[in-house]
Amino acid sequence: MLTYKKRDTFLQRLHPVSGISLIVLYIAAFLTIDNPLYLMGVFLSLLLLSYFDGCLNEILKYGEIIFPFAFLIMILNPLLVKNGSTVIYNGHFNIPVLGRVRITSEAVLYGIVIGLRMVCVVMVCGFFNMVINPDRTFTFFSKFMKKSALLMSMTIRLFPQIMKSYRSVVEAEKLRGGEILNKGIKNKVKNYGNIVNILFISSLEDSGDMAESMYSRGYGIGKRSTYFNEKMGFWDFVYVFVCIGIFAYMGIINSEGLNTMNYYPKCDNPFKTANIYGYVMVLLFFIPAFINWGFKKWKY
Amino acid sequence: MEILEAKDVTYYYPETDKPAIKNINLKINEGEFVLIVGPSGCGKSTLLRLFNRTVPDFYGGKIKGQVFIKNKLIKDMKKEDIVKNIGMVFQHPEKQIVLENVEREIAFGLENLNMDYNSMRRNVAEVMSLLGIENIKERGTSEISGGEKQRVAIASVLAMRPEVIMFDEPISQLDPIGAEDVLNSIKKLNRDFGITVILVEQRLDKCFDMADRIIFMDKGEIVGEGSPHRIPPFIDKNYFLPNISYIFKNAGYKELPVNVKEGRHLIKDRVFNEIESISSPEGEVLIEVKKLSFEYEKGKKVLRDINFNLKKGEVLAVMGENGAGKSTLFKIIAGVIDRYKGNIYINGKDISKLNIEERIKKVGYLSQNPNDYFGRDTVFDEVSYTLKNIGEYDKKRVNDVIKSMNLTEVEDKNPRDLSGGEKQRVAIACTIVSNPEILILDEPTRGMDGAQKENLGSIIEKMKSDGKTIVIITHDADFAGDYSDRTMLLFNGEIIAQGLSSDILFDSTYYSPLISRVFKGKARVIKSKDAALLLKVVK
Repeated sequence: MLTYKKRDTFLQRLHPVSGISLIVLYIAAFLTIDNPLYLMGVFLSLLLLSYFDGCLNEILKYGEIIFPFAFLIMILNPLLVKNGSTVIYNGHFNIPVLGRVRITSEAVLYGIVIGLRMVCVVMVCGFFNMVINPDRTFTFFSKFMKKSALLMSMTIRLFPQIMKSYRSVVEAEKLRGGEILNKGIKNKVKNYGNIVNILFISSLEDSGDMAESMYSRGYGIGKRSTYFNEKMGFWDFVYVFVCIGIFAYMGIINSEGLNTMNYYPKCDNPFKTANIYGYVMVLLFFIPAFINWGFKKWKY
Repeated sequence: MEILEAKDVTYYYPETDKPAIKNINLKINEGEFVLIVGPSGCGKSTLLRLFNRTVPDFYGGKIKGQVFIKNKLIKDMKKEDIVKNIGMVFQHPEKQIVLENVEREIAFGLENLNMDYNSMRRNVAEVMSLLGIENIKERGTSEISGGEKQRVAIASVLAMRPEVIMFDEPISQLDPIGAEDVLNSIKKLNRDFGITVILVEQRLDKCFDMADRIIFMDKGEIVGEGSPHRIPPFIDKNYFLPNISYIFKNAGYKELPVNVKEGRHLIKDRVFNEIESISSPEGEVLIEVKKLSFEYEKGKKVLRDINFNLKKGEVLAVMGENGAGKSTLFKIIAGVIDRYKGNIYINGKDISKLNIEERIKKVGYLSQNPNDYFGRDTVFDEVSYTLKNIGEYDKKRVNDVIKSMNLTEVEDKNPRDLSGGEKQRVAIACTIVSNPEILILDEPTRGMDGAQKENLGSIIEKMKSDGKTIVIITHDADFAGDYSDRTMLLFNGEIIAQGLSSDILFDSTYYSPLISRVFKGKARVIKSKDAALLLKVVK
């Protein structure tokens, strides 16, 4: 299963604050970085970090699950967006809803980047599921932010719950001939849509039951104590410091326009817009993986 | 002394005009064990939720009347005081557990009460010892069995030291062993620790005789009150009584036994005629399984050398412990799982050679959780879905199936808004609409009340008379006894016994219906109807 399992790795032992800092950093990077070269670089650093943690296979499975949706975006963007100046194909007929098809290389490239971004963000969420202990995170944050911790706990649990139900829902769809719809992209997307719909509704219903269970055991009535205390260690401070440093550096790069890459009306050349500051940023993202590698080698 | 009281309480859920419970007047005494029984959707769970104020605080809605805890008006009490006094354990073990680690989960309520560390440690350790779960304290809550999960849920509530614990169908989702463990724990809490227990349950055979008082509910109202040996005479529905009591009641007995021992005592001096032995229906072989084996992971065999035949028009019950491979075996036959070794023939044709459309027309499989089916907006669309997928959509056929399942009134509703029994019927409708020759039902009676089971039983009988072959994978020996022709016992991936249900179930120590245990040594009975007839004849 693609859910948290105690493996006692370096990352799993980190304080929830350190783990969350790392995840927030990656999500911010994947959402703000425009240049696909940087995006690929940061993505590689995440894969390397997962490799050293021993959860690369699971993270790739998350990517595998989200890829059909990302692929759909890659296909739909050039069909729906008519911006861009380099026309690859100009349709001759009016198609209902879409109008006259006009495919530009800018829309194709932008679709690919958006799809890649989606895969990256989901894989970070998967990484989060594999390395962040939901109990420790919930217990720690619920001391300060009851409602946010509850929301966070529900969110953390939503994905694993969906993963647990996925197999049985797919089986039920298969038994009802849902897989026959797999013929053709349109039907494949429709079939996936059905499965996702069932999974989300079931997960929402389950979250309601859990919320009632928490409510009836007094969650949110006042100040909470903790059964297991969480303390920040040396490497927690190092991780938080590294994350803040990279975050600040990324902020400066963005504000100075060093990460700017235009897709419309004419797409910039990613190699030409890339610069030394951007490459340094990508390298900085390899520091957490390097620390993890060091731990495996020297057991500090 | 009364610990809980409801005075003239009527409650409406949000956006409904029909009350979920009405004119409720109920007093619960300190240390009492109260069992609340009634059909699904009669308001039992809502009644429980009055006493911890989740109704109306959590659910919203309108409430009339007054509720008291230790003579204090509940609406004037602080939430903290309610939580400290009243604990609640829910139906689904998975859905009420908040944390991943067993020990943390048990401490969850104590953390919410801001208890100091030393007191928490003591409470957690004590309840773990009391419920015998210290050995799983380091484990993940997702790794333990259903029965263990439910005991962890009880421990988590018990650690808060409430004076009253309410249980909302705590064993409905558990296998017999898990259910037994949980009920023993509940009994212990009441008898040895004086905790007031309010239990809502559908599986009455195991808990009816545990209660000091029984409250009978129907259509949102309390319709009667009694004790295991003082059941009001007008209480005659199967959802109010354990199966044994219901059979004796049907046979005209005034004194009703509530367990096997009492049943045996009542008939100890009686002699019964042997009932006609039942044989399996004659017919052509429909399914032939030869040397089937399967493993999910290399080296871990889930099924080993399975061989059996199933005839047309036959009803087969499949029983065995959890993880024995029951569902896996029939998922393979339904075509959900491949990569198996051996051969499976349906009507002489190897199923690996069937395409999906052919397979759906041959085999229908109803999985354990009806919610896995529901993604369409209305019952009608849901039932039509399979036919549309195989390109055989026919409005009349959909309407006929909806009518036969008694779902016409709800055909425009969203399936997720229906009651548990209705959901189950919709799921069955989705499965039989393609008119399969073989219908496989995986744990179909889980969470059903007596009336719903009877309804399902008549559906099975009707399908059988139409020449369909039915497989029931179940832990419910009474249901298997009532409706199956043959029984297969699976253990550790192997068939350890198969044959006529009248032989296999009657001779089984653990998987025999309760009524067979009552008649042991007197008559070979496995069906409730036969038992009632025998009892009537003797009288």
